[in-house]
Amino acid sequence: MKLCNLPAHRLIEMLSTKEISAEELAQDLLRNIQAREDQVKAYITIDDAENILAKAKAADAKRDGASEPFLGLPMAIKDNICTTELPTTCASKMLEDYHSPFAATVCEKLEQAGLIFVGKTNLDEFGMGSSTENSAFYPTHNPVDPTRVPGGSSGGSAAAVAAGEAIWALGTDAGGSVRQPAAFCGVVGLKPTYGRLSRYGLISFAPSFDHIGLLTRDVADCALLLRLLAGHDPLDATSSRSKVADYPNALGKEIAGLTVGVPAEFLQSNLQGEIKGAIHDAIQALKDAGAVVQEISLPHLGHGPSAYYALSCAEASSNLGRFDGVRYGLRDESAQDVTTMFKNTRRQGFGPEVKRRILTGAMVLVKERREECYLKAVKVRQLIKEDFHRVLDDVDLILGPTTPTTAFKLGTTNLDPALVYDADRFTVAANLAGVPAMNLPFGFDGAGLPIGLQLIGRPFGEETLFQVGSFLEECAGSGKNI
Amino acid sequence: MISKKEVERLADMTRIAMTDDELAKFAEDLNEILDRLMGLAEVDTQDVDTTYQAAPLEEATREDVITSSLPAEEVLKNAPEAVDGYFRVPRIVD
Amino acid sequence: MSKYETIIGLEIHVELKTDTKLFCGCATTFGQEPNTQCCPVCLGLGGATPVLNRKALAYAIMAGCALNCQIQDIAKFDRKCYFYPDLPKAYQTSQDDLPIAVGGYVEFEDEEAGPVRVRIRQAHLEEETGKSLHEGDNILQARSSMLDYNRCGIPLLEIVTDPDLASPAQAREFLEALKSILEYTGVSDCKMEEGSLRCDANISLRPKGSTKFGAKVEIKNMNSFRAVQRALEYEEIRQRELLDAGEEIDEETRHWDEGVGKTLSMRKKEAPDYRFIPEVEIRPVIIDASWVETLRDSLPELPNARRQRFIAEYSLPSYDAAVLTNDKFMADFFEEVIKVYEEPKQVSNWLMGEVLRLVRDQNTALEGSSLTPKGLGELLALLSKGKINGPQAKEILAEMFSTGEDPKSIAKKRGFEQISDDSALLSVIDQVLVEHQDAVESFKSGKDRAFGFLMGQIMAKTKGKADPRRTKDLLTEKLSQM
Repeated sequence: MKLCNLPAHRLIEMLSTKEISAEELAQDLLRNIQAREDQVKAYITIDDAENILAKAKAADAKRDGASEPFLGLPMAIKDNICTTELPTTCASKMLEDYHSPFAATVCEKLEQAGLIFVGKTNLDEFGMGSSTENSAFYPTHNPVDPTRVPGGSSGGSAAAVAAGEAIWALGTDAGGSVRQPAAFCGVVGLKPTYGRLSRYGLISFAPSFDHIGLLTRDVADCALLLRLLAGHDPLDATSSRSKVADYPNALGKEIAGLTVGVPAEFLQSNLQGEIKGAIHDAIQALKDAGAVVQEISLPHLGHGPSAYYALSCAEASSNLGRFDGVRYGLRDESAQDVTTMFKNTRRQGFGPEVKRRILTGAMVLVKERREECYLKAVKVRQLIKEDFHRVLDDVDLILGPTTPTTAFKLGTTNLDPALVYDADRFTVAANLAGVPAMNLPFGFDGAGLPIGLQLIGRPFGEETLFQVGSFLEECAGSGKNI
Repeated sequence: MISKKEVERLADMTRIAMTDDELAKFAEDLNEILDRLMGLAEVDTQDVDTTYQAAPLEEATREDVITSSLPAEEVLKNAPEAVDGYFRVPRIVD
Repeated sequence: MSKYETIIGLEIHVELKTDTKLFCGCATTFGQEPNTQCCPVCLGLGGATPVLNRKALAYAIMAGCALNCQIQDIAKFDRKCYFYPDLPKAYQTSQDDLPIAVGGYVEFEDEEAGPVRVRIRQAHLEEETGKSLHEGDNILQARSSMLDYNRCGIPLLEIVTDPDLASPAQAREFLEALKSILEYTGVSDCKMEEGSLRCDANISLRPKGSTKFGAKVEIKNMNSFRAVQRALEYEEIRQRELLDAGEEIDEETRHWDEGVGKTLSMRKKEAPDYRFIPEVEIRPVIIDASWVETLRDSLPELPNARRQRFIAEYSLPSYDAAVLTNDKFMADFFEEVIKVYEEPKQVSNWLMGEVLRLVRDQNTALEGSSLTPKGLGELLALLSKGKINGPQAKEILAEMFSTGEDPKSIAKKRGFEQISDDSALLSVIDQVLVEHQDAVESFKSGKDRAFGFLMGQIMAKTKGKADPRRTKDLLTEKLSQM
C-alpha cells in the first residue's frame, strides 16, 4: 500500500515509531501528485518540491517520539482559506496573484502542530458551485471516473484526498460544499457545527452559512483533525466557547440504544435507487446493532434550497463588494475614473456564476423585494432550524442521503439549473440550521461510483457523528482507497 | 417579474459592467430564480421570531486594548498602485 | 419680521474616543503616517472577521443617556452597502432598524427665544471610513486620489435631531450645547477642526401658520460651528427670496463653499438603495439594564445641571455660570479653587477674565497650562490679604500659568510684598509731596489729574509695592489737610 494512500492516524503511528520518515512520506506524496495531477487537476498551487522536502526533513530532525504527532504530516488547503506562504486565489481571476498578509486561524494551528502545506486546492470560484467547474482556471476531475465531476465547491480537496494526492484536506461548506464532493469522491467530509471551527481567514461568500470543513480518508482521521482545530477564536465573533471534546474517544463506542431518525422528506424525494438502497442497508445494520431507528419529519425541508439561495446570495452580494481593485487583486488599469474601474474590474474578475449570485442577492435586498424575498427567507430559515432542534431533542442522530445521485458527468451542470438547485436540498438544511453533518462513504453504485450517507447531529454533538460514523464505516468495509 | 432595465440597475448598484446580451441573459436567469423563490410565500411565517444566524447567541465582544496592526509594507504589498504609503486610484467623480 | 418659519434638523457624526477601532484592535491615534494603523479587518481583506469593541458600545450608551434617550435592550448591526474607495468592504457596518439610542432631547438657552428643547430622534453606532486626499485642489479637478485607511473603522456615533431648530443661530447653539454635553461624558473630543465632529444640516421654510413642511434642502461640507450658522443663514435667505418670487424650492443636497460664502447645488442623484442586510458576523449583544444603569451612574453631573447648581450654590450670575460650566475642565477647576478660597464671584471673575485672557493670548487651553486650582486660590488669598496688589497678582498669575510655581515663592522672588503699613506709606507720601509741590498746587486749584500724577510718583518710589487703595485714602486725607 502506497504511503500516500494511508490514513493519517496510521501514518502518525509509523512516524512516531520511525517506521517511516516524514521525508519518505513527502516523496511518496509528491510522486503520486506527479502521476495523477495531470488528469485530476486537484490543485491550483503546489508548493516547490524542495520547499516541501526541506520542511519534511526539518520535521524528522525535530521529531521526538510521539510528543508532536502531527509533525511533518502533509496537508492540502482549499484555495479560499488564507495562507501566507502560498497565494490564495479563490479560483478567481480577481485574486489570481493575491498573497494574503495573514493566515487563517485554522492554518496557524496546523502549522504550529507541525503540518506541512503541500498546496492549495481547486474550487468553484469563491465557493459558488457544486462541481468545481466554475473555477476560473480549470475544472477538477473525479479520480474515480475522470469524465465526471468531483463535486463542489471543495472538489479539489475531495479529489486530492481520494486520489492520494493529499492525506487529508481542509475545505469549506456553505450549502454542502464539503459533504457533496466527499460523497462524489468517496471520502469522509465533515461540516462541523457553526462556530466549532474559527472562520477567521475563510474568504466566505455567505458568512452565516460558510464553515471550514474537513475531508479525510476515514472517520478516525476526521476526529483527530477536529480535535486539533476546534476551539474558540477571539478573532472570530461567531466562534463558540463550547468545550472541545476528545473526539477520537467516540470512535467504536457502543451504538446500542441510540436513536436514529430518518426524515420522511428525505426518503420520499427523487433518489437514485442505489442510494436509497444504501440507506436501507445502513438502517438495517444500525437496527441489528441495537439502535432504534424511526421515521421523523422535517416539514419545511422542501423550502431549504430557496431559503438558502435567497439568503446566501444576499450575503454574497455584500461580501464580495470588497473586491473592487483598490487595495489588492485585479484592477482594470485602463479606467480613468474610479467607478469605471470598479465596474470593469469586477466584470473581468468575476465569472458568470459569481455575477449571477451577486445580482440575485442585490435583487432580493432592494426595498421593493426585501420583505417578500429576504425577510421571508430569514423566517423560513428559523422554521427549518426549529424543525431540526425539535427532532434532535427526540433522536440522537439523523440519517439520510448526502446527494440525490452519484457523481454526474462534466459539462452537464448548465443543462438544467433546476436540477442543480434541488440537488443541494439534503445538504443545505444543515447550513440553514447550523448543525454538524458528515458525509460517510457507504459503498458504490453499479457504475462503481461512490455513494455517501449523511449523518446529522446536535449542535456541538460531533461525537455522535464519529460514534455512528465509525460503526457504519466498518460495516461498509470502507477505508478502501482508490 | 424582473425587467432587463432593473437588472441593469442591479448591475450598476453592484458595480459590474455588462453588455446588453449579458443583461438579457441574466434577466432570464433572475426571473427563473425569482419564480422559484416565490415558493417561499407558501410558508406560514406569521408567528416567527427571526434570528440572524444559524447558531445560538453567545456574546463575543473585545476589550479596548491595542493589538498590533500590519506593517505598512504588508498593507500595501498587494496594492495595484501604491504611492508614498497611500493607495492610489483614478479620480473619484462625485 | 419674516413671514416664513424656518425649520432645521441636524445630523451629527461624532468620533468616539476609544483607544481602538470599532471592530478591530488597531489604534485610533490621529495624525500618523498613512496606512500604519490598519489590519485585515479594517482593510476589508478577504477572510477577516470583525469583533465588537465593548467600550465603544459603552460610550454610545453613555452618550445616549446624556442625551436623555432610551437605550435598546439589544445591540444589532447592519451592513449599509455602497461603493466608494474609502469604504474597503463596500459596506459600512452601521445600525439600521435598531439604533442604540432613541427618543432623547437636548436643552439650551437661545438668545432670542429663551429655553429651547431639541428632540434627538436617534443615535446609532457605525464605523468611520478611510480618508481620501485628492491630487490638485479639490475632488472635482483631481486626476487621481490617494487613500489612507488609518481612520477606517474608528467608532462613530451618528446623532439625528428632529427638525426642532428654528434658526441658524439656534443650530449653532445646539451644537455648542451638544459638544459641551459630550465632552463632559468623556466619550468624544468633539473637535470639528480635527474631524472628530461633523455636521450636515437640513433646512426648509414654510409660511408662518402653515402646518405642511416645505421642501427640504440638505447642506454638507460645513467645517465649523460658525460655518454651520453662516451656511444656514445664506440658505435661509436664498429660499426666502425664491419663495417670495413665487418659485419652488428643489429638494436637493447643496455643498457649502466657505470661500465664496454660498451653498452650491450638487449634481442631482437618485437616492441610493443601501440594500441593508444584518451584519451576521457580529452577534447581537444583549444590553443588560443593570449595565446601562451602571454606565448612567458613572456619568458626571452634566452641563445644564451643573450650571443650575453653580447659580444656586455659589450665587453666581447666569452668565458666569454658563461660561464656567461650558467646559468641564474649567468647571472642575473652579470648584477646586473654591475648596481653597471661598469667594465664588471673585474666582469667577479671575477665571473668566485674566485666566481666559492668558489662554487666548497663548493660544492654548487651561488644561495644557501649569496653573493649578490650589495655586490660583493661594494667589487670590494673598491679594485679598493685601500682601500683593492687583497688577502684581496679574504678573504672578502669568508666571504660574507657564511654570506652575506657587504664588508665594514667585512674589518673594520678585520682591512683590505690598506695602500696606500706614506709617511706611505716609513717609513716602510726605516725601513725594515735598518733592512735587507744583503738583500739589495744581491739585488744589482743581486739576484732578495731578492726583493721579502724585499716585504714580508714590508707586514708582515704592517700586509698585504700595497698596493702591490705602495709598489713595492716605494721600486724599493728606491733601485735604494741606
